[in-house]
Amino acid sequence: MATIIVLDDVADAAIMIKRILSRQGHVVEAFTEEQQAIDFVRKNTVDLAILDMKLLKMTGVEVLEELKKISPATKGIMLTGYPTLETAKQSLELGAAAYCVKPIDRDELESTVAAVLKG
Amino acid sequence: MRLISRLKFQTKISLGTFLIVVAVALMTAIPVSRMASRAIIGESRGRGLALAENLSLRLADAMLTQDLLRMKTMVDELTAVGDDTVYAFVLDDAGDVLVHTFKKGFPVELKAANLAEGKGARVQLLDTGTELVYDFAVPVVISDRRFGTARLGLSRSRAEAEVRHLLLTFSGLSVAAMAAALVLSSIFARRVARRINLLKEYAQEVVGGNLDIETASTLKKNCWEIMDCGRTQCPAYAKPRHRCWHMHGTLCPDCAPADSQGKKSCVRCPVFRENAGDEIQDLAETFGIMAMTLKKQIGALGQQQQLMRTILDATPDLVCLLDAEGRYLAVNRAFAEFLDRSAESIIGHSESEVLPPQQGPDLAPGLAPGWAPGWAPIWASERLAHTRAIIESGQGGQAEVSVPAPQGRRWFHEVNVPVRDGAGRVLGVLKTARDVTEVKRIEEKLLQSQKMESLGKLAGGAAHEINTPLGIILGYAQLLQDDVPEGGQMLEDLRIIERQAKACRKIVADLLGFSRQHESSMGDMDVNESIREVASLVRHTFGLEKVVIELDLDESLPAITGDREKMGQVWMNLFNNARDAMPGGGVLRIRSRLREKDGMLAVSVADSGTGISPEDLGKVFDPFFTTKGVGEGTGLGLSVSFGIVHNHGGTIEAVSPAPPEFRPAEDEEDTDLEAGIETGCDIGGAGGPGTVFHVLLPLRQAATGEAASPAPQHTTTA
Repeated sequence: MATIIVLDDVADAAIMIKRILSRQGHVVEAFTEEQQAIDFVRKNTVDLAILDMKLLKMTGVEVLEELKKISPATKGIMLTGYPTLETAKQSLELGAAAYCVKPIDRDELESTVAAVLKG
Repeated sequence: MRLISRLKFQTKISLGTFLIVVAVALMTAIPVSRMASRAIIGESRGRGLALAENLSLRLADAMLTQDLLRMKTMVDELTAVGDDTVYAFVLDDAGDVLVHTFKKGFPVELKAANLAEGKGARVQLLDTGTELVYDFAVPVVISDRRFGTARLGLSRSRAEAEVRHLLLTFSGLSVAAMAAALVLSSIFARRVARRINLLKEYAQEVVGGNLDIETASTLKKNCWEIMDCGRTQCPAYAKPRHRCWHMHGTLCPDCAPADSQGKKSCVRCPVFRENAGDEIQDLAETFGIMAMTLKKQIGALGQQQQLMRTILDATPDLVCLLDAEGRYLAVNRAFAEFLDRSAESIIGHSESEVLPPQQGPDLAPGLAPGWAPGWAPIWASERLAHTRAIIESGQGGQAEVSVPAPQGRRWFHEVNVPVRDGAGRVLGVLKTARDVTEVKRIEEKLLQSQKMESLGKLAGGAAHEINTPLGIILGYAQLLQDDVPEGGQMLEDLRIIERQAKACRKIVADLLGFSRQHESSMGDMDVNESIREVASLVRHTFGLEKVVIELDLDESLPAITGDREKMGQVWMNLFNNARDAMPGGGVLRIRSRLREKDGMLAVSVADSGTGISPEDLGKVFDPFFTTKGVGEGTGLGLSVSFGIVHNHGGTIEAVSPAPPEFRPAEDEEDTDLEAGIETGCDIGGAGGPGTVFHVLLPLRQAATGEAASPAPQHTTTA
């Protein structure tokens, strides 16, 4: 089982993902503040970060960049309500494993997470 | 007086001249003859007196000697000298007759008829009964002593005969002079009258419209020959029948400049001195110049008129000029053509005779051929009132009016201007109407595209806001399903929540698609292939609903850059719409064509269905606009298609009723139906006006729709 963090500016959305993935047996931490999430990664080993693109202070891409500096092994799944080719390309270049469009379906989330953790 | 004024000019001159001569003759003959007769008689008296005195002197000697014989000889000599001496005799101092010349005896009464007193002679006029006689009595005096009296009788009638003779001669001469005057004046009058008559003929020619008259005679030497100028540019050059001194702008350096009244002073010019004629000649020459000037002016006027007419007729605007009573004074070609009448049948008529008289559908037929009822803004009564208001107020105005013409609804921008005279009084109204239908259409297009743009933004924004909470609802609905026992009511309820949340998610996704804020994967795509794919997908289900799909694809279409999946969605939307428009079945025609000159590829999807009303036509692409029942359609299909096509840099428009080329012909229709579906099917809706959706896609599209998309365009055409 893996350690996963979820970062979304809407707390309910983060908690919902936490609930779904917890059922799969993962250890999931939900954040709304970018800095708290980064600090958590600095102190703990995190396998996967699920990041919303639109955050309070930074963008998901910027957070991913920070996380990769701290922990290159941590994988990333980007979530967005505003899919654009540019952000998708940027995310993939920074090492994001997947790029998903909101609202994400439970099945799609579970399968994407499983695939990313496996690969 | 009237009789005199009606006389011919020639007669008047002759008569006038004759009367003048008669008056002069009378005025001279009467005093002259009077003076002449007086002079003749005076002279005859003087002669008689001289003879008598002479006799008296000569008698003195014979009287002294009492020589009677000598005395007799002397008196006889006197009567023999002149035939006007009637008698002569001598009286002695006592009054007795000494000698006399009477043959038949001396008349005694004569002795006392004239008596010489003293030493002076005395003259007495005597009437003998047959004639008048001057009797001269002269005393014979010797050394202051009177010896006797010499008497002489001189006939006055003879002198008068002389006077009569003189008068006769004088009268004869006068009559001869009068006759000569009459003849000469007739000749002169005829000459003058002939030239004046010539002028009259010229004037009649001018009145008759012939301005090419030559009134002046040719000259022996023309001005350019006299001056030897060689100035061929001069207006007087080589015009032998026009006189240079009547012309303006001559180039001769010797020409005196015209004065303030436009008269030239040519009196000293050798040309003028050689060639100038009398006043009538001058008049004729001026007349010629006048005709020439008139012709030039009329020509210029005609040219000007032609120019104005050309300008007026060339303009596509409808122009008309109305007088104060609302009658047409002038209309241009565009105006007449628009009313489908000739200009002649409009001019002089009032607006009420030319335009339909009243508003409303109860317009009597035949009043205005070519006009459909509901022709609101051009009704005669309204326009007449409008024209009157302009004339009364002197205020023009402009307005945009909509006119349902036979060629379709037209928009006109009408400008009405009051026309004033010099004093500022309003004489009429000039109306100009410009067809602004095209401008209006572009305006409407722009408005529509702006509307779609803002609608897209609004829908996109709302969709984004809903997206996150919707995701949470959906997630929890799915999550909770794990926690409730299988087969329970709770699980069913949660599944309904999930299903409806998913329906919402679809709407949100469609809205995002319409607002173009979605991901697209552009690549090479074959439009025909994409159409065929979708067509084959729906052909079976459409067949069940008696809808035949007819493909007419241009195989030369090149591949374009586009999103296969998204374009497939567009076709699917259009096909589904077409099917829904033909509830009883019909023909769905799909045509693709290359429009190389526009750099476009055109796909037309036509149905034979119920068509779209003009009011709805402008709204079909609006999000949530639907004519379908609740639960049958979201009203987003066409909005999404619009967004997708737009994202490809293309345009989509709806046309209803469909143009004839998209309507199946009767026989063709039958064949299609037989080929596609079972015979005997009722195909209600197949005969409807139908609708065509035209999708235009650019041939070479850059990687992203955003980057190369032209200005957003979206049209609806009525």
